[in-house]
Amino acid sequence: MKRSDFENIVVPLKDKVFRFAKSIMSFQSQAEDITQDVFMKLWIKREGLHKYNNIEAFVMTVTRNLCLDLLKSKQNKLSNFESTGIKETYDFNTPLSETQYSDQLNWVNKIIADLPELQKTTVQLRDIEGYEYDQIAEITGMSKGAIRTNLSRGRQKIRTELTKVYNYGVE
Amino acid sequence: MELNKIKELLAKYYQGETTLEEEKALKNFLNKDIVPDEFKPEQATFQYFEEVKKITFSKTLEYQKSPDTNTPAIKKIWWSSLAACLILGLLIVYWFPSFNNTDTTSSISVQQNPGTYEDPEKAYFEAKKALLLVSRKMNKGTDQMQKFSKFHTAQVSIAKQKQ
Repeated sequence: MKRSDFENIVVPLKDKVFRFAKSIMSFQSQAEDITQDVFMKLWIKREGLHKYNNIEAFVMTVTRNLCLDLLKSKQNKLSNFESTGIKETYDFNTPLSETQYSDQLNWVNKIIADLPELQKTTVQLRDIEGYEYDQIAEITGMSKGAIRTNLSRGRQKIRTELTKVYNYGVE
Repeated sequence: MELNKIKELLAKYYQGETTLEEEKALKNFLNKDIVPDEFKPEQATFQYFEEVKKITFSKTLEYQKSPDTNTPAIKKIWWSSLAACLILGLLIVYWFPSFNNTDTTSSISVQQNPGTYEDPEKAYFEAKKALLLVSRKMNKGTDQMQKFSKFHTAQVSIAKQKQ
């Protein structure tokens, strides 16, 4: 793959890669590092990229694998933020006057961050990035049935938790 | 869209059975400002999805700094430092001889008369001319100094008034 092809086809995926990494990792800085790593790896492998008929799916797979590797290596360390439950939420650029709206976004963000990885991943890929089930299967290596199950559980969990938040506000 | 249809779609959505098009229809319905209270959790969720889609990678990608492309970068630095050295060298060579003759009037006379004067009268005039030039330049300086004496007199008169 030539430099121009790389810049036109691969580089524009950087936002999707970053969002995907952020959904799996807890911290913005980790997601940024992973995004840099993903494109560094792809740049080195650029000669072989034309072999993949779905480059986007391949890029997302690389992203997910890097995230999972990092999580695995972190889980062996005691100083793991993951286990203490500290998670960074997104920086939404909502105006200060819309505090209620940004509170609401942060609730959803926290609920999704606490989901198991497979549920998080399927929700991210389907509901945010809008991939077809075939593509999600290609990215994650899961069967369509497993994708549906995880998606269904994730979505229901979000609803249950949010309903709790709303009822708490009402009472 | 009627509410029953929405409820039906949501049920499918929670089973992971909706198509992308059906999800789009849900999104369009839930992103309205006013929805029935029973759909508040879904509205919050779909609004969240929309906001996350807007998030972009704000840093600059530095994929080309990877090890295999390091050599050209180092070569570039090597060549540009070589060029810088050459320019610096040339500047020194061209600048140094002219360093001593920055004062143009004197430099011209020195170059025109590199030796001594044979005629004593001519030598006297030339020396006088040179000394006058120096004294003129010095007086220029003392003119400015006159202004300071004004400050002094003012200071003295103020001191007197205070007493």
